[in-house]
Order: sequence, then C-alpha cells, then structure tokens
Amino acid sequence: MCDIIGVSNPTTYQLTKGALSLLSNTTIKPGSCQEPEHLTDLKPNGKPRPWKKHKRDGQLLSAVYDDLADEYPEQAARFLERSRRIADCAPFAEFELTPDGGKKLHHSSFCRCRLCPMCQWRRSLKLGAQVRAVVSHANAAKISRDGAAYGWLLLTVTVQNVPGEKLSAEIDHIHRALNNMAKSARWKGSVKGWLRATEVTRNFNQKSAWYGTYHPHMHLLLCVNARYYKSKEYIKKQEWLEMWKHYAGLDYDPIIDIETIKTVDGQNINDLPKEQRAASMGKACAEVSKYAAKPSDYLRPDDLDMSAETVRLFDLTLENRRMTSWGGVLKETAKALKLDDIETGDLVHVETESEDETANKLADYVTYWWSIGAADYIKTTARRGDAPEVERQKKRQTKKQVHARRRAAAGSGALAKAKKDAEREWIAWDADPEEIAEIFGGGEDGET
Amino acid sequence: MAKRKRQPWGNLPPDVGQFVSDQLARDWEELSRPCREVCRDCPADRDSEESPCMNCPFAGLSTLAATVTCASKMIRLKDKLDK
Repeated sequence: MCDIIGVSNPTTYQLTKGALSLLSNTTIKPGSCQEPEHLTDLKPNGKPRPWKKHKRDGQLLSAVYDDLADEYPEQAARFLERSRRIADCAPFAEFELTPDGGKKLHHSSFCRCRLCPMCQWRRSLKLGAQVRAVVSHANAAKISRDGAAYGWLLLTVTVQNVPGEKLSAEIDHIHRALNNMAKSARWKGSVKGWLRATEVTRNFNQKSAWYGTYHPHMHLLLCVNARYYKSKEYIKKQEWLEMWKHYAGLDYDPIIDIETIKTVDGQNINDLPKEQRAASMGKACAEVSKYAAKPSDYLRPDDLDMSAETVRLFDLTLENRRMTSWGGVLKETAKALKLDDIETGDLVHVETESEDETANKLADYVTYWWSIGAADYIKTTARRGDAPEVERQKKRQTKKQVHARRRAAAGSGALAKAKKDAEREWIAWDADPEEIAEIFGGGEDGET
Repeated sequence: MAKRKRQPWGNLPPDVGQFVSDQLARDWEELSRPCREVCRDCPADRDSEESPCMNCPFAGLSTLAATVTCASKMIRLKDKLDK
C-alpha cells in the first residue's frame, strides 16, 4: 500500500506519511513507497542521543524570540536575529559510520546562541570531555610527581533567590565573592585547582514563596591533596559555609553542599585501579558541565508568557558572560593541553583526543536533514569519502579560498552587488508582485 | 529601505508558506491549550541527559503546539499593529 499522500512538485518536494522533506536530494523517489529513515545516534550505553528533542526545543525557542520581537519593538532586531539563527541551527547532521556500527558527528552547522538547546547540549558535551581530559592529565602529573593522585570534591555554593531585575548584579556578586575566597590563605592551603560552573534556575512552584524568582549558584570541582582528609588542610562543611558567607557578604546562612567524589558504590576514587578512576569522575564531570541555564527552565510549552519573560531575561543577562572557568593547577593543565574555548570553539568535534584516524583510509558518511513535517532528522544521502581529518583539512582550505575571494570581491564592488541581488531574492520570496514593483520599479514577477 | 520579511516556518516554498500563514492567522492559543498542557505534572526530567521525552509522543506534540501558538500570536499581533 503506497503511503504517499501528495506530491506538490515532484522535482523538489516529497510528502510521505505526513513527513515533508524540503530537499531535492531526498532518497525518496517520486511515487515510491519508501519509508523515511529517522536518525538513531546511540551512545555507548545504547541510549539515543537527544538530537530530536533539542531541535524541537530550538524551534519553540525560535518562536518565543519571534514573539519577543513583537512585544519589544526596540529590541526587535536582536530577538529576530536570535530567532533566525536558532531556527537554522543544525539543519543537517553528517555522521561518519564507525567500524563498530556507531555514528560520529562529522559535519553540521550550529548557531552558537547562548540559549539554543542544541548548542547548549553540544557545549556541555565539550566541557564534559575537557573536564575528563584535564582531570586525567592533572592526576597523571601528580602521580608521576608524588606517587599519589589528587582527591576530588564537588562544592556547590548558593545565595538566596533574587527577582529578575537583580539577577545580573547577583551573578557578578557571586563571581567576585568566589575570586576573593580563592585568594584567601585557607583556600590556597587546601585547594590546588578548581573548575567553576555557574548555573541559574527558576522557581516554577506556584505554591512556593519564591515563585518566579531566580536562583544563581555555582558548582565547583575542587582538587585537593590526597592527604586532605587527614591533615590540617581539611575544611569542614560548617567552615565552608562560614567562608562563603563571609566572602559573599551574606547576613544569613546560605545553603552549600560539599561532597567527596566517590564511585557509585561509595568507594573512594583513589582506591580504584588507575584505569577506572576516569570513568568514576563521570558524575562530577556531568554536574559541572551542566548547562548555564536549563532549557526546561526557560521553555515551558504550557506557560508561554513565563517562557517569553524568562528567555528575555536570560538572553540579556547571560550574554557575554563566562559561565565556566578554570583555576589553580587545573587552569595550568587546561592551558598546557591547549583546549578549545567552550564559548567560541568547535561544537562538532567535542572530544578532546584526535583518536585513531588513519590519513589515507576512506570513510563512509551518512547525512540526515531536519524535516519540518516529520519533526525529526530524516536520512537523505550516504557517501564514501576521504578520512575525516583529510576532509576537515580540505574544508579549511576551501574556507580560506572563499575568504580570499570575498576580500577580493569586496575591493572590486562585486560583493555589494551580490548583497543587493541576495536582498532582491529575499524580498521576492514572500513579497507580493506589487510590492516588488514598488521597490524595484516594475518588471518583476515575484517568483524566485 | 525595504522591510525584510521572514517566513514563519523558515524557508517554505511560497505556496506552502502562504497556506501556513493563512492557517496561523487563526487564534491557536485556546485551540492548542489541551496539547500544550499534556505534559503538565509529568514526572520526567526534561533536562536530564537520559530524558525519556525524546521517545514520548506527547513531548513533540506539546512543543509543536507551543511553537504554532507563538507563531500565530506573532501573526495576529502584526495584523493588529497594521490596523
């Protein structure tokens, strides 16, 4: 039984079972009954990576930004730009097929917006990989130096919830407080290195007295000497509380949490064999590499007005802020490893190691494009190409050539002409013929 | 200077874009409310890496219903402003 429900333009668009693909290179042949192949990208533990979820959330966020552009005309340009970028984020994903049957992302296009759920997810993966790399290198250096690894703690420091208008100042305040605390003799004597990750959540509990307020807090991964627990370096929870209260200038007892990073069954991480230590850091890495603001905190399909208000505040507050930073020996290790910047770096290749890529080996690639109708990534093409690293080098070269041509074109005035042509095409897309005639002086038919 | 226009659903072909715009002109706020509220009180942690929502039929439904509502709100606001 053929499930094609209509073909509006057989050369360009295909409709099958309600799944609309806007691609000319779709694998679905006109008139065939082929089912679209949805993206399944599995993690090593067999669970699917959440591409679909983040793309759908991105669509909602884009619509929320559109809505904001209308509510706040004075900031419309900013919000529309965000909306366009997020709507166009990761329209496709090309994967390299690995010998074990898995998929490894090879190419995509990310918008890099702070609140984009897709980019936040990629950033958190990248930070997680970087944390694991830094931790294992710092430990290896310590073991070769002293014969013992570092001990690891997870410290969470908080302040009371604040209303939206005070959020920006409060984030500045807790960052300053941490900087001051890290300069204290007590801290310096105990903590050898740290990673700070700032997170903001919102209270959505309508029964709570703090309903609608924001909760900025910081997760800190601390590295201490192995003798920390049995020496004067040890800092009790109450002392951590007093220190934070003092440096943050608080007149109330804040909520803090300090825990030793242990394995799932409660073992101390240093008691494990070397090869198992890195894996056991997973929980702590996941905690500190969490998103700056959770998508579920600003995207509430059931409360659009609150979503819009939260998105606007987060967009204005979190812009140009460094939500993660390294300190002490971890900073030195991160510097020595020449890690890519989390805020501006590559979001496609999130792993830190270069892996076992053979330069001359061919690789198989498969591409999935986002389909609006199916609300999922659908397979479009499969190809055999050069090894990933060779392809990346080629892409870099092509990019350089394009930039060189652009610079040359800018000098000759051809760029201005190309921009004007693009503007004409953009407007012709949905403007009516009369409007185009008015702008360009007639002679246009309004079709692209 | 000509005002740039953007298709509410990205780069749809003109005829489809027009059809979608016409549909969005309806007030979807109330019509889509049951769909938008279908996840209310669901115990799933949507933010978790292991979130079960990706495989839940209602997650897509509520997100798309909210997207349609936002887009329709925008179109109706624009119409209101034009008048």
